[in-house]
Amino acid sequence: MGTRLKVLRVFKDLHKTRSRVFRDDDRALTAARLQINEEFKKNKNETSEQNIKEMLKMARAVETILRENVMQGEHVEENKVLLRPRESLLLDNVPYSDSPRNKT
Amino acid sequence: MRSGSLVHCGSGLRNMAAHIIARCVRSLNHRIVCFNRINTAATLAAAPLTHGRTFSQLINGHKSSLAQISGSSFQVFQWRQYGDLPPLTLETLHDRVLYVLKLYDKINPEKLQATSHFMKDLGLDSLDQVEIIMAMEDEFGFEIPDADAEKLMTPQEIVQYIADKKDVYE
Repeated sequence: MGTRLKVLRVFKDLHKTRSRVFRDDDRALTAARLQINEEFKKNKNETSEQNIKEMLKMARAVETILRENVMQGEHVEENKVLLRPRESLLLDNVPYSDSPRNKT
Repeated sequence: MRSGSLVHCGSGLRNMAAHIIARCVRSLNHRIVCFNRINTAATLAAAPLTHGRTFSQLINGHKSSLAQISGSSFQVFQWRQYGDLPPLTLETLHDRVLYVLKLYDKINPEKLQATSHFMKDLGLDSLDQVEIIMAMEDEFGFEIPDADAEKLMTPQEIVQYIADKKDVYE
């Protein structure tokens, strides 16, 4: 029963991340929603513990990638894209260092 | 962005006007700068209103939002809102829950009742139920923990749960 809760939890998190990352973009929102639902429904009747664990890991990885590696941009003019960064993606303004000293 | 809409009155209009007003008031929450004016003026035939009713909303970022409805007869209440949601009643709660459910594509709106069980009557599965609960969270603006969420299996239970959490009595 624990895995069932985990599956539902990751499903919910995926949808939440989807709505945050693709905010205001209806086409991407619906496409992502259908994709998530399809993938989950496809493997609904899986019984092997091992496979379920693998798929859970995959779902968690997808959610992380969406959250941390995908940024939204909006076309404002021809050849111009305005980025819409999310708060969590903005880093502090630290100057880039090619060979950073190890943290002590 | 929503542009102003003009509502022409007919005799059965009051419910529609109330619905539009309720929806406009709800848009207060979305923090979109929008100026909405509904002017129900001279075309009033049967309504006993003697003067034109203007309804204007101004949303000003984080500052106070002020909504005023002035008019006679139907359901007159004047309210001021300082950045807060309109008060919930059991009936509006119930209507909103059913409205959100009818928008869900896997539910047949004709078969939907307050007591229809999602899994037994409507043939949904647990993934669909999670999506429904997420839609409710978005609609009412507060998080529903997973432990509670998986127990909510009929619209009536959802209404009851939200009423408990939001202190809606009648």
